[in-house]
Amino acid sequence: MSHITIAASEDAFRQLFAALRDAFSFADSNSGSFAGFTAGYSVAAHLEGGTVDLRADGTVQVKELDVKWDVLDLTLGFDIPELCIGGWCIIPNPFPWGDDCWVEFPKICVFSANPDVSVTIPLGGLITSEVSITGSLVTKYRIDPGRLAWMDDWDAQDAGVPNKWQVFLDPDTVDLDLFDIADIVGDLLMSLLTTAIEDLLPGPQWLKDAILAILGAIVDLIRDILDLPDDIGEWISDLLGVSLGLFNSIVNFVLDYFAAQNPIFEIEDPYPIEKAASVPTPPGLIPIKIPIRDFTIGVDDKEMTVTANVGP
Amino acid sequence: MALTDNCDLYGAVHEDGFNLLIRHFMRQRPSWFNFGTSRVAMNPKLWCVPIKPEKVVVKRNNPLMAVEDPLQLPLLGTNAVVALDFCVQIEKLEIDFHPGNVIALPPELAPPLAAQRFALHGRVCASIGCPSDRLVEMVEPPPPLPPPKRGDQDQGHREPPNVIMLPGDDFDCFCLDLFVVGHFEITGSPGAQRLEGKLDGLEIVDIEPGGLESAIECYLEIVTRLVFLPHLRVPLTKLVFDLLDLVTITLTPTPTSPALPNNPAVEDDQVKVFIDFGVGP
Repeated sequence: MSHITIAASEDAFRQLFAALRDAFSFADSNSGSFAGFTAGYSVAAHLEGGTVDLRADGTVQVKELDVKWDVLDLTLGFDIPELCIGGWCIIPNPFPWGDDCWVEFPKICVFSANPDVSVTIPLGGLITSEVSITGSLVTKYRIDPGRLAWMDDWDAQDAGVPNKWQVFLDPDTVDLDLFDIADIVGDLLMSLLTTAIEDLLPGPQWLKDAILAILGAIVDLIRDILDLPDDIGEWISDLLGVSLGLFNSIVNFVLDYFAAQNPIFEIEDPYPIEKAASVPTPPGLIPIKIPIRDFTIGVDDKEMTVTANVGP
Repeated sequence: MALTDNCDLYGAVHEDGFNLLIRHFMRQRPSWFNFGTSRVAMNPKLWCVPIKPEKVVVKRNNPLMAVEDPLQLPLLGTNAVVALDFCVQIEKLEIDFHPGNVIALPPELAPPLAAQRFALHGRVCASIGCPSDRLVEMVEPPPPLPPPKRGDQDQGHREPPNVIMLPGDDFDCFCLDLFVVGHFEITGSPGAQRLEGKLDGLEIVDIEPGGLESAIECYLEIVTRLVFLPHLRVPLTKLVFDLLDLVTITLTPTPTSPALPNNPAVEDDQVKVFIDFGVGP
């Protein structure tokens, strides 16, 4: 029988999960260049809903955890091919000397910048997604690389490099599903782009109308430039998830969070016992340290159990 | 049956782990287990038993023995006390949780160990530094107490006693086996609760006559209740810690019920504690 046994019920896990979920937040940004346009995102999210389940196979499952996007700004920048009108000769020079043209129609060029148009679509609140994680709790023994050979356990503690038992959530699967983009996203994108392009055109409204008459419908123009499919929501989903890798980024964030960088629990070995009792070590005396051996974690469908032995 | 059927968290410590824990305490903090006057503390030859500390204790000049004032005994009939060197060492300390299988209890403590009880065994070795005859003869006898004056309202008042320090030459050590039976309770008001040991019985083996044994046991009961058992207190309300720097966990004892008749429970060679769990920001 182990010297020390600690068990936590599934209900305790549920309480803990709810508190961690409510306290968790995520923020990220990224951008990239694609054929004819640039795109970037800035996101901030929190979590809602979901369940945690201790399973008989020794894994812990977090299921259908909603990712609520407080900020999900998608910025699109378009480099529209330059378009020039005018510049042709109205009254040519009939003589063999002098300029070829006496009077030219003024030349007006639009879409000369790069990118010409940049719009930010506030998608926060318009996208719903959820994450599911299944993982195992594993223990590892960490010998601090900063610990020098001459150090005893007390020297290592003084130097802030004690050995540690660490507990990690080792994710077997992390799924992030983007399962709904509101239909209005397509209309919103087109409206923003139309306004931005109209603002770029020079001159009074009659001139803008003249240029637009030459260009044709802006919506068709944008569709041509972006090679947009009919379902713009699907296109945005691919852009965010595949082209920009936002969802990979979130998955990686979750993986990293629970992987090597972030043990969910760690304990010094040997463990300074006065710390457990919140009693200060008397001045000048060494802290009493208890060696911990055989630190293990097990999970079944009712509880998680931690066992350890006191070393000699 | 799951360990947490009646609680959120369950914790248990086996007696073997506890006894290893005690051994680490004795080796790393020997001054909690060895006491003597400064003269005794500085001279290992005057100790009753050798002290075996961890190397780091010596390396960092931690004390092996707690320095105490000399033992002051009154010179009866005088306003003087004689101060003697002494040494008290707890050589062995072990615990046994029900059912008893580590410590053989003396008949006075009605073995076998009762349900929900723990037993402690301590072997204490001590000595008083007895001064040489020559040294005692060199001391001028103190004058007898003056008779109380008539009408003196404060007859109990005395001048501070004269202390006669007599360094000992002869340290004859004796060792006593002390047995304690007790139980654990969760005491204190909600929010300030703690797990502590309570004394049910104490016995010193093989002291004659019986009156002397009773007197020493009375003294040791006081020391056990006031000094030793408080060291075993675990403040439950202080078991609050941060997880991932996101949430704070607070632990409180699970109330007893027909399904959970004892909390803490002393059974299966373990002390078991059942805890309810609170999570906050």
